[in-house]
Parts: sequence; C-alpha cells; structure tokens
Amino acid sequence: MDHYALVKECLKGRPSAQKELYQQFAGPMLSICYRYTKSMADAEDILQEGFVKVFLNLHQYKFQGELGGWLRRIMVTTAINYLKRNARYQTDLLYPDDNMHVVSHESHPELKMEARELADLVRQLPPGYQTIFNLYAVEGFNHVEIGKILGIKESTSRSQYARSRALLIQWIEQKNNDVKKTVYAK
Amino acid sequence: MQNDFEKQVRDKMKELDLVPSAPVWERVQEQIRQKKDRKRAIIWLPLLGLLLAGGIWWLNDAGNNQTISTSHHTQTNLPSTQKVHSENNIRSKQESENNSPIEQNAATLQNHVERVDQTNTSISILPGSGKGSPEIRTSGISSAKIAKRNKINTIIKEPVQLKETKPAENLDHTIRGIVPFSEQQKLSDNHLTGQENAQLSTIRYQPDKMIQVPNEMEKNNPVRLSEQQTQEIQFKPIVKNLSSGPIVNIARGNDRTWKFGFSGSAGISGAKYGANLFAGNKIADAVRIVDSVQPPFIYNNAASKESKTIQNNFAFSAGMIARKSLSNRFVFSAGILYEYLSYNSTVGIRINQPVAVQGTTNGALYYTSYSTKQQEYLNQYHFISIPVTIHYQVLRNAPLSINAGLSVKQLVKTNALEFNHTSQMYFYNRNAFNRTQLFPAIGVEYALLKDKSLIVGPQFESSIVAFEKNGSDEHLYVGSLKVQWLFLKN
Repeated sequence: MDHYALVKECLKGRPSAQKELYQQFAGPMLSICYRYTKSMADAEDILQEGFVKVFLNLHQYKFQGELGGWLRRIMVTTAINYLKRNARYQTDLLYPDDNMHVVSHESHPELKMEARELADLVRQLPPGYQTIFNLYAVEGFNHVEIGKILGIKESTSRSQYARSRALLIQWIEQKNNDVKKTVYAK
Repeated sequence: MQNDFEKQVRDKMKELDLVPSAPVWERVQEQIRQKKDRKRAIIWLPLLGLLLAGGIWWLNDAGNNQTISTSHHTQTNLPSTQKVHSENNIRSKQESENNSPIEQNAATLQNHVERVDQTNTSISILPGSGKGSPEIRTSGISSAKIAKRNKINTIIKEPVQLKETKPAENLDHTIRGIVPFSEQQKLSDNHLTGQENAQLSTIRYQPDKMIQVPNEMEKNNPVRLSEQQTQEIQFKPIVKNLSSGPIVNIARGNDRTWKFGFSGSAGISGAKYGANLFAGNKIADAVRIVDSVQPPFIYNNAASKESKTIQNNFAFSAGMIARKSLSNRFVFSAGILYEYLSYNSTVGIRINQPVAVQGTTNGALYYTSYSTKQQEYLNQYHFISIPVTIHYQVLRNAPLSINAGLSVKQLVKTNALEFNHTSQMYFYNRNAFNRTQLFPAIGVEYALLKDKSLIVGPQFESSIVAFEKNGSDEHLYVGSLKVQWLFLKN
C-alpha cells in the first residue's frame, strides 16, 4: 500500500493501516529519537509520544511532501520537547558558554565507522551539544532556527556547535587511530 | 570542507535503522484510544447533557400540565381594586380563551374538591423579595409549618393585602391573577373520595374561581378558605429556587402549545475529512503528491504538486418548523426542510466518451490532471431534512438561546463527483453516496419583534456519516444564518 492510500486508511481509523504505518516508519523514527537521547528507553518514550501525535493529527498532513519528512519533523519536535521537560537533560540544555578551546578542524577524518558507532559517539556529547549537533549537522537547521527552537541566541548555538563538532572530530580521530593500531597489531 | 563533514555525518545517520521493542506499539495504541475517547466525550457530553436536561424538564412539566390554570374565568369578575393587575392579565386571558384543551382539563378537574377544615383561612402568595422564593401570607393556619415544609422564605400572619407587583418580565411565561372566591363556590371536603384524594393535584379548579396551592402544602396543611375572604395569588415566572421544589408551579396555558412557522437559512457548505466538528481539512480526493522532502526539511517546491482544496459554496434551506416550550427556558423544535448544499472542487478535462470506471460507464467523467487545463466543478446536494433541536434560553431577561440537535437528511438528488484512485478520475455515480446523513447541529439564536415571533441566529452542522460509500472519510458541513418566523396570534 502506498503512503497516500495508507494515510487515507489511517484517517478512517483502521487499526491495521495504523500498524502498517507504524511498522514502516518506526525504525527510521527510532533512529532519530536515539540520536537525541542518552538511553534507548528515553528514545522509545519519544517514539511512542511522537506516534500518538502522528495518529491524532494525521488529518493535518496535507500530502505536500513525503510522509516520512512530515513524521520526521514531528519526531524532532517531540524529542526537543521531551528534553526540555526532562530533568536529566535540562541542566545541560542551559548551554552555558564554557572556556573550552576550540580547535579549528579544516580537515576532518574519514568516517569509517558504522552508523550505530557514530550515533553512539554523538550521544556521548553533553546533552546541549548533542542537541545542537543533531539539529545543525543532521537535520539541517541553521543557527537562527536552532536559536528559536531552543530559545537561545544564535551566537550561542554557533559556538556550541563548533565545540561539539571539535569534540566529535577528536573522538572520531581517536577511534580511527585505535582501529589502525589494532590492524597493525594483527 | 566543513559542509563535507556534515554531509558525511548526515549520510551515515541515514543508514542508522533501529528496531523498537514490541510494547511501544501497544502503548501507542492504548494512548490513541484514550485520547480519542476523551475527545469524543468533550464533543458529545455537552450535547447529551443538554438533551438529558431537556428530557427531564419535559417529563417534569408533563406531570405538572395535568393541572391547568384557567384564568379566563377568574378575569371576568376582577374587583376594581385589583385593576393594577388587569393589564398584565390581558395576555394570559386572551390566550386562555382560545384554549379548548385547557377547558376540557378544567372540567375534569372540577370533579376534584379540596380538603378544607373548619378554620377560616386565607392565603396570599406574593413574589419573593429577592431570591425568587415567594412570600406567603396566611391567616388561621400553622404558617411556620408551611414554611418549613415548603421551603418558603417568609410567612407573615395577617392581614391579607393586595400588593402591586412589578410588571411581568415575560408575559408569555407569567400568569398574574387575583382570584375572587365566592361563597357558593366554597370548597368542601364532603365530596372527597379516597381516589380523588389520591389524585389531588397542585391546582384546584372551580368555575369562576381558582385557587392554586402548593402540592405539599395542601397535603400536609389542609387550608380552609373563608367565604368572605379573597384569595390573592400571584405568580412569578418559574425561577431557579422555585423549580427546585414544588412550591408554586403553574402550567402556562397556550405557552406550552405547539407553535408553527417558516424556517429558512442561507450560508456556506463544504466537505472535509473526519467527522469532528472542528477539525479536519478540506482536501479533495484527487491529490497524489509524489514529491519528496529531503533533510533539512526543505520542500522541493518546483516538483511538488498543490493539493486541490475544496472551496466552500452556497447553501440554503427552507421549510416548516414547529416549536414547543418545555419549560421557561427549554424549547423543543422539529421541522421539515428542503436543503441545498454545494461546494466547488477542481477537476481536469471532461471526457466526452464513456470510460469504464469500477465496472460502470458514464459520460460525465473528468481527468484529474495537474498538467492540463483545470476547471471548477460545482458539486450540488439536494436534501429533505428533519431537524430536531433543543433550545435553551441563556438569559432570563433576554431571548437569547443556544441550541443543539440532530438533523436527519435524506439525499434526494446530487451531481457530485466521486474519485477513483486507480484510474485517477472523477466520475458521477448515483449509487456512490450514503443517502441518509446525520448532522449534529449547534447554534445560537435571538428572538426579535415584540411577540418574539422572529428568531434569527447562526448555526453549524457537520455530518457524522461519510457521504461516499467507498470508504472515504469525507463529511459534509454547513454553516448558515437561520431565520424562523412563527405564526403567533396577536
């Protein structure tokens, strides 16, 4: 069943169509939630909340653009709201300016790792950095938009992103070196 | 170089695909069900509450209507000192004169007699000073007992006096009468049988006199009325305090009869997805978007196709309506109307040769083309409608009411097009529609003119039955300005 027909069936309230839509998109959507959280349980909570929103507001989907894009946007919004109201993430969402020295990486290491490994590295970033990195590097929002979404200054978003990027590149390089050492050792 | 890193990260992240655990879907289902139930309750509870309250009032009033006041007998012999009230009585008198069912009931009630003891007593029930409960003046009976049993504000012994009261705020709902009580018509319990005693009702009737005594009061405190004394009974419109107990409750003669009139409305109608009154979008069937959105959520506008939105169009109705007061505030109405609903939708080029769609052929087919010339098609629906409505007067002093009801509409004729997804075509099929539609309706109305015979107000209706049989969840709705003109005798 194509997405158009699937949505129409869901709008009629058919549970089988709803389940099919869930099964088609649950995996990719969980990946999004996973990148924004520190635990799989939190990711699944966001996924659940996001899908409830999806089914209750499906009539608002105007068939403009791909269904996946619409779902993705809902999941990202749900994830941000979840982080904002969750105490575990809130302290780091204040995005204080730290004095960390940012090394400019004009060149960056090659991403040889698996997607899951990269996602786990991103999840090791402090929550504030993690959110901004996801919004900018993966979702493609600019810093003005991120500022509005998170309620911070554009400049804060910019500087936090630079730090998160630097950290991540550092970790990726480390990881690549570890792999090299293992290969040489063999 | 910076963008290259982000691009690599983005591409890598696209490869990430995780599988959620099984309980997530179960929890999603459970939450959807709970939230939908809550939504339904929010929509339907007020309507059900209103209908239930109307029903209770109706049942209560049906019981009270067995005791009919007939003021036309009493008005003929008004003492000169009571003329202050006569003007207010004119209306109820005129109404009563034309009321043969009331007279019939009165004749039946004439057989009942009132239990009267040997103590001389007179009663005057006057409007309450502040909170709506009446004040009762008595002589010769245990007033404290009456007050206690009947929840009356004040009972003052002695003397019986006429009091000038404020003009009735709503003559339709008020009877103010000063009832002479003559010797030869004195009530006696000599004629009371056991059966009659059991059937004692709130209002006693005798020709040329009328006494209205609260039900509980007369059962528990037999009242004697002297031959020389005058009964003065005045009533206010039933107000909240009174309605809570059977102190003084009156039937209002003609006011409770059916009133007939014309009803008409004009407005707009359309179609939308979902039965929810206030949600749903207005997307036509023929929308198939093949556009894609890439992160970061920038729509490829050049490739995207605009959805074809249904445009609202003209709607009107005309017919007959009947209204009946259930109480001071509740009115029931029903009618029969012709209704015209329409909306525009965008279609492609008409095919002049019959094309098979769903095993049938029909000449009135249209492409749903995005690239070729498009045109507006007027979908028209002709209904015969039976609306049933409960009206509630919100303010006591102003004829402003809210209403809620259900309208059963039978589709008589339509030229509306159905959409076939397989062939991507619009086509006409007379069997494609659910011909019986149910429209819950809500509205506000205000009665104009001196006799409140012209009622106007906005109304909104939305069908809970999908109008196509093909499983589509599209529903018709109509918003209009309603006008009703009742035939009232002056």
